[in-house]
Parts: sequence; structure tokens; C-alpha cells
Amino acid sequence: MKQQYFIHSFAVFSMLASLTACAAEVKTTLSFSADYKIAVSQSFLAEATVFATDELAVKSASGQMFAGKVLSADSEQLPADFDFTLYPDYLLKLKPVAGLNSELSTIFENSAAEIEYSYGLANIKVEQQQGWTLYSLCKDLRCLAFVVKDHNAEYILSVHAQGMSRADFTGLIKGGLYVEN
Amino acid sequence: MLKTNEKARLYELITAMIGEDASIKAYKSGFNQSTVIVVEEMIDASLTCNANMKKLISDLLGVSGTLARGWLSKALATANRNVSITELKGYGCLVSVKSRWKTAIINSTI
Repeated sequence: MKQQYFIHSFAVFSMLASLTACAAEVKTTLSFSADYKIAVSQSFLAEATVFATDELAVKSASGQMFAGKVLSADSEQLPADFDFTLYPDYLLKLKPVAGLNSELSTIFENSAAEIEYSYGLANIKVEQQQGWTLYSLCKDLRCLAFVVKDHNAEYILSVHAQGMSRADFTGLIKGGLYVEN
Repeated sequence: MLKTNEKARLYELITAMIGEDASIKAYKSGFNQSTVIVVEEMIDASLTCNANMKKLISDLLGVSGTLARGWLSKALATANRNVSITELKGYGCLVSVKSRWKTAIINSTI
């Protein structure tokens, strides 16, 4: 009888534990494009505010902001023949802009100066993931990242955050990015 | 708490810097001190994006050289009314730079 009670209790406990685990896994998807989607946990989205801007933007109840949009040569008003896979390299000064024409090199240099001021170019991290690359940089709880999927030369996901540590920011991307499509 | 004319002046400055934007305009009534701080940061960060920005600021304030933190708050209250800040043209940075600042500006009102 005692043993039966233990087994029953154990079964109920296991079910509750798995339900709790399931509840902890509930996520909401932020869709930036057909190829770039990030699933975000309810803990970030509970009582958050989603607001309209050029980007898809969310402000959490605790004041953290996470926003992004998909970039292309077209959206960045770059020439159609520009190799967009090199965009993060030029912008983050990982590759010299010397090979670009003067107008383009000026735009990238100016934009890099803005990024240096806001996010700091000294702490760039480039991480090769399974099928995609993450470029990230953070300064004073302000972070910027570019997600580049392999075999997708046309589009890059740009995301940025305020009030978030680097670990939380990159964790949100790595833990939520839809890798498949 | 910003006065209505300070909000208008702030929006004018934003427009001069990154162009007319309907989504920011829709949040103009919600501009506050946090918005002033964000716009000041945007201007400081984007000086290289707009060659005329330094001149505009010195014309507005009647001073030149390094600007101390909080300069925009003072400028909104005492700005030289004869200076048109709509004349600033040309933005020499990528479109996405503007987008990030637009989001930061609206975020400051929420």
C-alpha cells in the first residue's frame, strides 16, 4: 500500500515537473523575415510593450529593449552588386574599406565611427554557429549584433538591445534563432 | 517635463538629423527628458554622419568646442531662435544607423 502510494506520488510529481518544464519553454516568435525569426521566452515578453518603428521592437516590463530588422543592399541603399556578406566586416572594421569606391568607404567609415561611439569596436565577438555566424559587440549594457546565415548572401539580421548584458543578449539570439530556414 | 515648444524644437532637430519620420512624430507628445538624453547621444554619436552638425550646434549655442553632457537640455531652453535647424542636409551613414536611433527615441517615450 505504502509502495503504491509512493509510485502514485512519484507519477504525479513527474507529471507536474514536466508541465513546469513545458511552461518554462513557452516562447513567442519575433518574425523579422522568412529566413530570420527569433523565439523569445515569456519571461522577457510578459507585460512587455511592442512598438512600431522602422524595426520590430519590444520593451520588457523591466525596461530592457530588444529590436531588429533584416537588412539588404536595397534597404541600406547600397549598390545592387555590393557583396552583402561582407557588410558586417566593413562596418565593424574587420576588413579594410580600401577596396570600395570613395563614396561607399566614407559611408562605412562614418557608420563605423557611430558604432564605435555607441557599442565600442574593441570588443567584437565573431562566433561561427551551425549554419550561421553571429557578430556581437556591447558597451554599457548596449548591444548590437548581426546574424548572417550561411548560403544567404542577400539578407542579414541586425538586432540591438538596451539594458541587457552581453550574455543575456547573445543568449537570447542563440537560444531563439530559427536555424532551419 | 518638456514644454510644447521644446518638444517641437526637439522634433525639428531630430528631423534635421535623420529626416521626417511619421512614427517618431506620432510620439512627439510623449517626448521627455529621457528623449533629450537619447537625442543628445544620437547627435554626439553621429557627428561624423553629418558634417554640418558641429556648425549647427555651435550656431544654436553660440559656442564651439567640446560639448559637456546635458548641452541639449540647455539648448532647447535657450537656443538661438534665429538659427534654422531645418537646413541641415545630407546624412552620411547607413540607413540602419538611423533606424536604431529612431527605435531608441521612441523607446524613451514608452
